[in-house]
Amino acid sequence: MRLIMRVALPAATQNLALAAPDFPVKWQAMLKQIGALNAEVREQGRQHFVLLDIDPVRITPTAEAVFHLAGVKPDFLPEIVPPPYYGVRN
Amino acid sequence: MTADAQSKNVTTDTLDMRRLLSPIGVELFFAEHWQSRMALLPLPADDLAFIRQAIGPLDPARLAGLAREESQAWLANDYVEHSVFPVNAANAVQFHKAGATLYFINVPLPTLTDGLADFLGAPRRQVIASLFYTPAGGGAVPHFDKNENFTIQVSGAKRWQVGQAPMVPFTPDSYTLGSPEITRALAPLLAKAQRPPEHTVELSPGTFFYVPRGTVHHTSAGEPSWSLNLSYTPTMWLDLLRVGLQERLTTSPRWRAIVTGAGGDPAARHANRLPELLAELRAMLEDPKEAEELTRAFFQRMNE
Repeated sequence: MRLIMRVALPAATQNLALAAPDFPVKWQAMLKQIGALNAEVREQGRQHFVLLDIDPVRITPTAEAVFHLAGVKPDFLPEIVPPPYYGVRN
Repeated sequence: MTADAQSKNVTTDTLDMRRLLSPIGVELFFAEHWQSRMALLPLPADDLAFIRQAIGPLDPARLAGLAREESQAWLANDYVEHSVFPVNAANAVQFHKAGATLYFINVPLPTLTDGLADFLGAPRRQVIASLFYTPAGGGAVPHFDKNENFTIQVSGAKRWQVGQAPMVPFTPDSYTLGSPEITRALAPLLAKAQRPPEHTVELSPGTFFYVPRGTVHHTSAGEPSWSLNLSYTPTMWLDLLRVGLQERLTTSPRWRAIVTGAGGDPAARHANRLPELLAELRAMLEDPKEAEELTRAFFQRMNE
């Protein structure tokens, strides 16, 4: 099922793992490993939203990968897709 | 089950709250527990059998199909922050295998919910039945509800840690402790609130447990657990007055007149009818028959 994983990253000063120069590379590798369909960053990098399509049994292992890399526990939100609106004109 | 108990079940067609509360007595329940502190009671075996019969098979897929509002999976563990997923008959079991607690909201069990509503003198529609299926190691993080909650442990066991008193008495909203999501109505009450000390309560099959709204509780199950939750989403006295008065006053042309003369031109102030309307309202509220009519209109509206 499609889910959005929300990861709230603290400031790098509070979490040494995030201050490591290779953290962005490791983060991207982790996203690839967990099969992220899309990833978006908000609030100057503090909030990461990762779109996933995984079975329920994969939720905890996916969160575990984030935890081991960044030291934070993500939460998950259902993906809400608005119904198509055919009246829209671009 | 004894022959006596079997015959009682055949003749019982609704939840008998007076009987369930008999170990402490209903008068004591309303005087000392209702809306103020928890109550824990053993349920007679025949009453538990009646409740189990009313629920029917404890099958997650079946209950996900029956739930009128929604079925949810709650997942929280060493790696996942408390997360809520909508589930359906097809994936409920998968979520349970993943370690989630399943919550089937508003399963139609009128023999139980109507019995509780009628006992409380509450609108029937405001009392709903929900079921929790918690895996071993699962549970709920500290939170309080805006509902008055009656829990019956149906099978398995669950440990509850419950505040000795409501953290926010008569809370207008539910809240998960530590969450940044706080409603506007709750924020000022929460700012002043202190978290009371807790009791630890072990629920085993046949335990009947009342938790007042606003009371912090968290749970953990050492083994798979099914529990039934009968909850009364409060209709407050202010709701009764608001709805009842609206129904009643809308029939009056004087009350339907336009607000005019609250300030404005001195001539317009002659059209300000508020003083005489307030006098009319005062007289109306002092009449016991009118108060009864307000209540009747409110219940009619709530049960529509």
